[in-house]
Amino acid sequence: MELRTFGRDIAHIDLAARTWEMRPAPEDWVRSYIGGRGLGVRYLLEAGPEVEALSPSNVLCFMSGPLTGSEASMSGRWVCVTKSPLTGTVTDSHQGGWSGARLRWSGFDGLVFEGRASAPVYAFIEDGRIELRDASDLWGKNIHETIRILQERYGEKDLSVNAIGSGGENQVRFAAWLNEDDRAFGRGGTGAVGGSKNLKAIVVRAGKKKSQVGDPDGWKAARSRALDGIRDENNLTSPRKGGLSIYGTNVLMNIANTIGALGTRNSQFTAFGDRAEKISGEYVDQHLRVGKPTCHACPVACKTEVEVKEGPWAGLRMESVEYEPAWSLGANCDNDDAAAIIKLIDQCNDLGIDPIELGNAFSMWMEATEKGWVPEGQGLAWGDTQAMVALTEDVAARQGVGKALSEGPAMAAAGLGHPEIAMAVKGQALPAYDPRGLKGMGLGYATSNRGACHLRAYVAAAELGVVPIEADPLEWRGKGELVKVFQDLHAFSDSLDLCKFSAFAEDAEVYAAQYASAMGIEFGSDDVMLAGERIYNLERHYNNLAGVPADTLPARFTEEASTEGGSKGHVSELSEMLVEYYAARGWEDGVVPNAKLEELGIR
Amino acid sequence: MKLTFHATLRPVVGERTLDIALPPGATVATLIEILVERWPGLSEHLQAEQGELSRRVNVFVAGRNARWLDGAATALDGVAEVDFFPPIAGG
Ligand code: SF4
Repeated sequence: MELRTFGRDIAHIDLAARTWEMRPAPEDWVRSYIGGRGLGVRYLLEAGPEVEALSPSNVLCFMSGPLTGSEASMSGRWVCVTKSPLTGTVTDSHQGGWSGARLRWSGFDGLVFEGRASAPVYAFIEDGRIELRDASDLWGKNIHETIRILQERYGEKDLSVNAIGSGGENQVRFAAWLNEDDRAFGRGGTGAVGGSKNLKAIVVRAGKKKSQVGDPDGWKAARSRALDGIRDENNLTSPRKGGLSIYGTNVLMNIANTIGALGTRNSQFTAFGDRAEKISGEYVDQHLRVGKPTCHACPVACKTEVEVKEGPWAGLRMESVEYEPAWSLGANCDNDDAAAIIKLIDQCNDLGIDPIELGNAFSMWMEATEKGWVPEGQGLAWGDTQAMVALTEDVAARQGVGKALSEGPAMAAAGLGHPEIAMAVKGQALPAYDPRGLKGMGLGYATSNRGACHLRAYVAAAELGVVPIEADPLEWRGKGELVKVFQDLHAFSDSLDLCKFSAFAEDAEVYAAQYASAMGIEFGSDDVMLAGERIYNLERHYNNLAGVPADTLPARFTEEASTEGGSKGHVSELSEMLVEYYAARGWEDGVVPNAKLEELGIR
Repeated sequence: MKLTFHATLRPVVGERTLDIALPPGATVATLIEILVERWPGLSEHLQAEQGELSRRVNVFVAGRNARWLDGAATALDGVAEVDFFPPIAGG
């Protein structure tokens, strides 16, 4: 696998005509936007920002990055980029496991799906060839069954399957794609776009390929430097020693609770008290864990495979209990039953819907029920797990109350006449870090180009003190510049495409050394930050052209003080932070001016 | 005072929580000394250069990271809860 020619093997698949052709990405796009997220967004811009997300004119891009599938640590990532039916913004959602690596090994750098098939199809990809095959027998089946059938058909060896379930088929606005390891392109409704195109699955069969690089000595040195950082015993990534490696992402539950950043009951409260422990990474590790899976080329193995031991879902085995869904379907819904959370996540993985959005839709509906705003007989009580399980099926089927919730909490709350109880930004629900307890995270949500998102900036790494730049989570001053730096750095790593958690061990210099040696070019840490800034501005420019609304947070976070934990009494000083942020970005009230576009060479 | 140990620190202590009485004027540094004496295995996590907090621990005093208070010198008089975490983040 030749890394230097990344961008040459981009397949454009015309679903209506059922044809495809390989068209290299323009060289200046690859130079400017690197790959993965950046390159995907450039293709999206080409399709026109005014495009309707669920129309045949939208494009659905599955892009690898220049390091995907290589020997670089944490390089099993790829990304789905499209216009989101949930937010109307650009969206990019990344997935781990082996699918991205296998795409690369099969001879493709990216797939751009265009148009709409007249009947359900799936793409079968092997050895530099793509075939669109009839999926009428798979349509109507959920993800686990679809994957099982395709594995039986083609054998499990070297096979990756990404599929949509009923959520995607029914165009639930937050439908997702999942692969055989239950790893998701989770956020933003990419699965609904698949459903709108009659694209049921993407099957890739490819054995492992060794990388050819521009500077083999530099490549070896850069990779071992990255690996040393990951293995450092002081680091949370340290295999079988660090908190992330042992407990997975759900190690965050207790710390968020302690500092008053664990939104509870639809963020009416900021901590879940002693009940947080019952849904924490520590609890899951001790009582429910049965395995510690990983992704391609990753020694961290942060995933947690679990089995429910007793109760109505005894025997259910699945992977993986992450912090986000444990929060969204847990504390956020006043639910401290870890087994029920596992059941709900498994349903989301099978139906193909985003559990962050779903949990927020539930918590919004629960608050509305409490306040008497829900029609008689349609209410949902706090922590009613049996009702949540039943309603999850209805959301994917878009029936009953589930129909309203399938539009996402923002649209559903607006439908009730109470948009203020949707904890969402630009139509996408908030993740698991309350903006009153981690102020930089709040600014990151408000200014994310895909609606509320913890991963565009992930300034929590600084606010929780796990990277050399440390920042007091309750101080708003300085967060404008800090959020910009983190957003730009992650825009670059998302374009390489490396796991987000690489940033706990690698900085811009380490990313630059790996990229430069892979491609055989000169590329330094300043180039990393510049490319990241260019990608972030490209996304924002797209959103500006698409008429995406202003950067904001729900009033709950700016007006209602934190109730508990270390943040008690605090609100988010969003307006003040936005002034700092726009100054750091050189934007005019959230809009990228022409001078900035020119400075960054965006055209 | 209630102490809570999280994540990788919990197996070292063997308990999730414990109650402790501290002498008047005690600081985070005093508390760390007492804990290390009782659980020597905590030393590599909690102790750094004299007067500084180790980067391998985050000590939260009533929900605030001592790093943003007075560090190891943070006073504990009247404090009801202290939480100990190793470096933690995720997604
Ligand atoms: S850190 Fe976790 S999510 Fe990232 S590559 Fe490794 S196992 Fe996958």
